[in-house]
Amino acid sequence: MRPRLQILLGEDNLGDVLLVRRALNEHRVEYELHTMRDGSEAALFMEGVQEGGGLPCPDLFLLDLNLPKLDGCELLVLLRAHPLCGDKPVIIISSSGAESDRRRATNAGATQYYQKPSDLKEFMKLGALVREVVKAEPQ
Amino acid sequence: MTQLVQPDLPVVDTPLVEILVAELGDVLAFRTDAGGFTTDWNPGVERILGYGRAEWVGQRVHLIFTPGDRAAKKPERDMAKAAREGRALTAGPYQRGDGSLLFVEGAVVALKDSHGTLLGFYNVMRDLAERNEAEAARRQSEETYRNLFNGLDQGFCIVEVKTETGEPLDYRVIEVNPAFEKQSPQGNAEGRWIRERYPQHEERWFEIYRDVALTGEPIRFQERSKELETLWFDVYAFRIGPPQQKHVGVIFTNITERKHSEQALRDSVERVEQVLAQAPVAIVVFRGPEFVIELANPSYQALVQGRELVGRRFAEVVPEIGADVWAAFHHVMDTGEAVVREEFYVPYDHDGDGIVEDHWFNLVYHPLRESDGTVSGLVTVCIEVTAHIRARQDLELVNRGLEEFAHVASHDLQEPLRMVRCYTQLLVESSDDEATQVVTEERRLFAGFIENGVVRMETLIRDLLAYSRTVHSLDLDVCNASLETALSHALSAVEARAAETAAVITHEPLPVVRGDEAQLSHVFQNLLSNALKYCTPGQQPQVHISAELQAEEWIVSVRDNGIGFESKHAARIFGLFKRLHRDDEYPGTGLGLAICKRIIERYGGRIWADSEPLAGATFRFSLAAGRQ
Repeated sequence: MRPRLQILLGEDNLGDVLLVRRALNEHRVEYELHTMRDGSEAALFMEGVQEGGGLPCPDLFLLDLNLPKLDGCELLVLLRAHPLCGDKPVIIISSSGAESDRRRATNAGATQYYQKPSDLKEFMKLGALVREVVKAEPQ
Repeated sequence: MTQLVQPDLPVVDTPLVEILVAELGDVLAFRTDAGGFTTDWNPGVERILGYGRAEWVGQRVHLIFTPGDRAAKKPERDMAKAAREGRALTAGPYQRGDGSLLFVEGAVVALKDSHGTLLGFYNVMRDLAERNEAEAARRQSEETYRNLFNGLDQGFCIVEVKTETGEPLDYRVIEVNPAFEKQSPQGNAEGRWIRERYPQHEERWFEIYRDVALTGEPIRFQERSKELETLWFDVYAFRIGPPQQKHVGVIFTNITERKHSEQALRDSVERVEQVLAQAPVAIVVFRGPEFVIELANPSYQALVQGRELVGRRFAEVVPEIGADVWAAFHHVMDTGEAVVREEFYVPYDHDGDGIVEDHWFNLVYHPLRESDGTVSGLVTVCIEVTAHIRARQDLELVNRGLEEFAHVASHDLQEPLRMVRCYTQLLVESSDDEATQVVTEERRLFAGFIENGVVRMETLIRDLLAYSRTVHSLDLDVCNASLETALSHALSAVEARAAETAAVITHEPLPVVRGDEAQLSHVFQNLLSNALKYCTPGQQPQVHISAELQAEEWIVSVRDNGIGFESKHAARIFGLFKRLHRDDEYPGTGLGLAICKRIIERYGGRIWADSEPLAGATFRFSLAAGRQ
């Protein structure tokens, strides 16, 4: 049996957490979700990711851009400097469609930028994007 | 040896006399008959008087007398006296063959026979050489003086001053040179007393000539005379001749023109000074390699409050001035090229509190050239734009804040709407799993209302943001914008809708205008969307875009064959949130045309519309033609 995809989700909106789960389910992603409600919680989690007895690094990061305390991009910068997680795929998700936000995410090292749509069907496409990003990653 | 010519007359004088007369070359000796006609000649006649023998013999003795003496019958009187008394002494000027005067002294001796009958006269005269040299010198001097007098470009006259007590002080001109009339076009007043001829003549003239005549001290002065058409004269007056004559020599030049040009120059300098003083720009002139301040107008003085400027070196006046300014100064001095700077940053201590503040100037450093072309200094003309720059910086800050706010607001306003919409959809979907179909239909209807509201709200937020961006965007890029390009972008944006309605969109060649392509594309997009939205039911929408050059601006028209509107609404439709239709008829936020208006006006244009109900609508906007 294939191991389930370990996903760290940084998202403070419970509604969006449910929608993300639904999108992943709809696209039959086998996953285990570690939800962090703000940036410092996520940072703390990352500190625990260590070799030899520490937590393993998640396979994928879904980070809301507007996370409280440390936002998605700030977290991404820490992540890229992490000895174990520096190469992991990161999707920045945000309801903002502003070009400046996209640029900021790309500059910080995001693998993808996903604008949360207000249409449910559109939102479900996030599951497809996750599959795509993971498939492209060398296992 | 020359022989004394033997006359035809009988001769009774002694041979010794004959010999003496013949030998004495510097003595003039000749004989005449009793009537005064010459009969012989000695070499002295030729040497001293300049007459050869042939010219001489047989002439009347009057020949050698001056016209005055002749008129006074001096020859006759001399001869009469000699005849009566045996001899007559004579002296004075005689006239040579060339007309010049000769001073001699001598005697006329009567020659009589033994009966006492008068035979003729001996004339013996000695040349008074010293006297003649003096006379020659005097003549030379007089000639020089005459030449000077006549050739002098300046006016010269001799005036006689009347200072007798009891009579009014007066003078008159008694002699003038040829240049007199040229210098004094009023003409020669020779001989007439001035008070009579020029009653208004200034008193000062009389007083000056009196003083010169009485004291003998020459004076040079410039004066004008109302009587002589307010002419100006530069005058040198000096006493001439013996003091009792009260003659004053006056050398003068008419300097009216010079005075006028001096005045014109003074006026023009004064005007320039006034301009400098009033100029709202600061002007300062520097001279020499040390940049010594030669002139600074009040506007410049205000820039460096309370500092001494004129005559001081710039480095000493504003020691805190930065290297950029010095570099510009030296560039001007070295190359002779002007330096023009806009918003030039020149920090210095304006208020003298020892702290250098930020200042910005629009300025020009211009070389000052000598007549040989060398750069001897520079003039700075500058205007401080610090307040302007600060205002712009503040505005930029405010606008950045506003943009940020708009961005955050859009994000934070959209966020809850997204939740409402997604979860409304989820509610409906989840109810499908249940068996209660009636309730489900009702839920679906309600969910539809919620969703419509959300979509409308989203559109509104998006349009408001677009509107606020046209208001706040500071990076207003006014450059040449191709309307062809703008339209093609707009056409791709409305492509789907156009295909849906099977619309026919045509256009004529479009010009280049002043504006921004992206913004103008937005205008086209709004106008095209409207044309496609408000189409006549059951009719293929047709939109035509054209442009026409009027004066220096282009009028662009977007004409459709849609439902149109009543012309009384033509202005209202450009207002914020102004709509002519219910949302269930034609959805919209009422912001599209307001955005168009805002954009066009930002580029200095106008936008307006003509229409009649069911007759289509034409939207027009004007923009300045693009520059080459």
